[in-house]
Amino acid sequence: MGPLHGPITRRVFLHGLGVAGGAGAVLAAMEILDLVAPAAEYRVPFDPPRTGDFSLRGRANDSTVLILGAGIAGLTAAYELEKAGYRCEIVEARSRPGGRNWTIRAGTTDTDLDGVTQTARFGDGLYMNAGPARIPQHHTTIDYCRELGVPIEPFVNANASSYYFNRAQRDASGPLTDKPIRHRAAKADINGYLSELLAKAVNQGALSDELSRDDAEAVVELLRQIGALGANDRYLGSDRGGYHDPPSAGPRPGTVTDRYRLSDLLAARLGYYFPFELEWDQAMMMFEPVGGMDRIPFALAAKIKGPIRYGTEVRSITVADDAVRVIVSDSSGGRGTEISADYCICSIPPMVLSKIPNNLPARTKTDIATLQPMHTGKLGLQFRRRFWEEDEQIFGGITDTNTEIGTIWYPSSGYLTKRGILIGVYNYHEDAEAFDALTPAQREARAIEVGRAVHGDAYRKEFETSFSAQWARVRYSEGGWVLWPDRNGPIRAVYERLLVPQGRLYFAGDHLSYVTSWQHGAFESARLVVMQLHERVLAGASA
Amino acid sequence: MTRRWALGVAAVVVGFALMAALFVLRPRGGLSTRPVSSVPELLSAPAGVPGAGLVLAPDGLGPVTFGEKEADVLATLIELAGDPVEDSTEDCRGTGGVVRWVRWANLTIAVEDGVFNGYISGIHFPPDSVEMTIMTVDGVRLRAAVEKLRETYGDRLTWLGEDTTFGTPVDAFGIDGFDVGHPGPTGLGGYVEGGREDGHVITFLGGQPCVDNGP
Repeated sequence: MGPLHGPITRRVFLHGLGVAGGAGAVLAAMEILDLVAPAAEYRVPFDPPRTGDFSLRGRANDSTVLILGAGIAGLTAAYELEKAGYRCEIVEARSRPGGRNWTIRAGTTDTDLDGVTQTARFGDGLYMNAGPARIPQHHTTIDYCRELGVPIEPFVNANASSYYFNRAQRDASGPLTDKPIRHRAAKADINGYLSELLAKAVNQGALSDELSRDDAEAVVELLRQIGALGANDRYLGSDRGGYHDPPSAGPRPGTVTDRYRLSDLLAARLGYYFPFELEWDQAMMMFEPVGGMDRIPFALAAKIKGPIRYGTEVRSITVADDAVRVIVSDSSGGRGTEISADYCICSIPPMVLSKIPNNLPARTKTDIATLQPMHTGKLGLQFRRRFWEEDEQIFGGITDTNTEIGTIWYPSSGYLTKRGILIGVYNYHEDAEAFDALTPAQREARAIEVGRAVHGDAYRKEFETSFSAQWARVRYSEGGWVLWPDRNGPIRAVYERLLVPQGRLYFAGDHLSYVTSWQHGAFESARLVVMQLHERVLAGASA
Repeated sequence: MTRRWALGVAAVVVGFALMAALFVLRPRGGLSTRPVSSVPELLSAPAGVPGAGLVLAPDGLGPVTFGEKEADVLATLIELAGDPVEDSTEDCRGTGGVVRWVRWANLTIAVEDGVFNGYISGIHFPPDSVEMTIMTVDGVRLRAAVEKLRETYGDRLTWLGEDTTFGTPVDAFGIDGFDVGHPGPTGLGGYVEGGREDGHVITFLGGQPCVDNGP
């Protein structure tokens, strides 16, 4: 007899379905919303180490620091520590700096965890940023671009001319599915209808308990502006939604597009995309380095005086009382070398670190293994003609979809030139997991199929070549980033324990910040560790 | 004499310049190294994974079986899965006793009368911890497609009726209950979301946790 034979009790049923936890989940999520760190707490106060920190104490620093990983966190740690005279060395498994900051150009070759090798065949001067691709203006990343002399240019994260494209699936339905709807049209109509409804409620006195007479009038006046309301405070459409026939010279006043029906807009679930553009880290203005995101790690690497051993895998980590000893080798496992240092900063992603033999306490091993990867991927599609600019007047920005490809990103540079690379896939979670299991050619085919539904035949006819990076399948990353559960819950203890050094070993990376997945988190985490280590060394020097 | 003097000064200047250049361009870093004769192999699976070693079996969770003492079971599970994130009790109307529910991420065990007597493992749980990957003893995991259930259990897979204490059919929620017909008094079953053809497993249940705590 099985556990479900006989009456199913409320407790077992609710537990089984997770409903008991569901309310808690929602509450916890709401708490997160309230607990988003204000801007003032967004950065760790940072006092960069200086040579004077040691010379003023009448002794030179001879502390050595071995840094595991030449991603943003590892490079930043070396760059900042060297300012005070630490002798640093970086070990990096890849043949380049940057880690997940990865810009793919013609000739870039990569073999994934499944043994599939891709070589990018992009045109000269063209590239895709497979990892981070945009920088909010308040991120520390901008400060480093300034300090390192990396030029930046605007990144278009929102464009009224790009599309919403929802298939009739995943709760979306109705006549506005399976067709591209311009952002401007959906926003104009939804803002218009919602403004009309709220104005109607206020005018009918439905909110008289909440609003004084003066405030009610002011609210309605505001709604008329927000919604472009017409006579009798009704939404009748507006030029905000766009034109069938745009205004021009002579007898061309322009014809405004018809508004969509509210129920169709709601059924298609287009409004759920709107908040993205208001998010703390996604709101314009945003930037990207000129020439590719990897200009940042390459600039950092160029400033670092100590050696960076590329193509070198970490094979074991031993933390001793007097030093940290790390055995490294080339990727074939040959030519083993043990490197010893006074301190070690490990910025290896936890998904990779958990498979490196070490003598860390069992609790630390469990904490590291607890962290799970975010499944996500990007696929760049090169087209011989920028049809999105020439035919559809889309210059930068993002088309959102409810399909397996996630979003389509239009390039924010190279406008009016001939060729261009779109990000034809940027997906997450289950969609990305499904893509993980596909070959690059299969991913390309799926991307073109959806893109063709959005942009028409040009998407197939003008296509030239592609490159796919599904991060859970990328060697030495094994995930886009760490997917933390709510850190206000019990998992917080794991987070806090990993912030504490294990003897002479420190952990750093975006996963050890509240800005996971952003380079800002990696910069901030590295700076925090640099200060912790430097204070410790200074205290020892003073003793 | 003047020429010799000039050459001497020039030599000193060049010497200083060379020393300065060597100082500025001196190699940095280069930490202490030594060759090692053997290179450790990377692990084939992550070390310390919470829940590793546990399986969803009809008689327990692998290392712990139904009927074992509460303290022993908890000690073993804490060792394998870390500290629990939830621990609560409630009255069990059917037995008149008290059932203790202890949860680790997506795994909850039930303890009654001081012994371990059931578990629930589902994909829905509060966002307070990371889901553990625990498979059934037959290798089926949460989120598996119904097809996988059929492939694994064949004729042993049975769909359950609509007998609930709610008086409402379970499938009114779009959920189907199943049992996989393991022999013995406890068994193994669960819930599927998305239908009996195309759905996927959202919950496994084992044992006989408090069967009547009332609506």
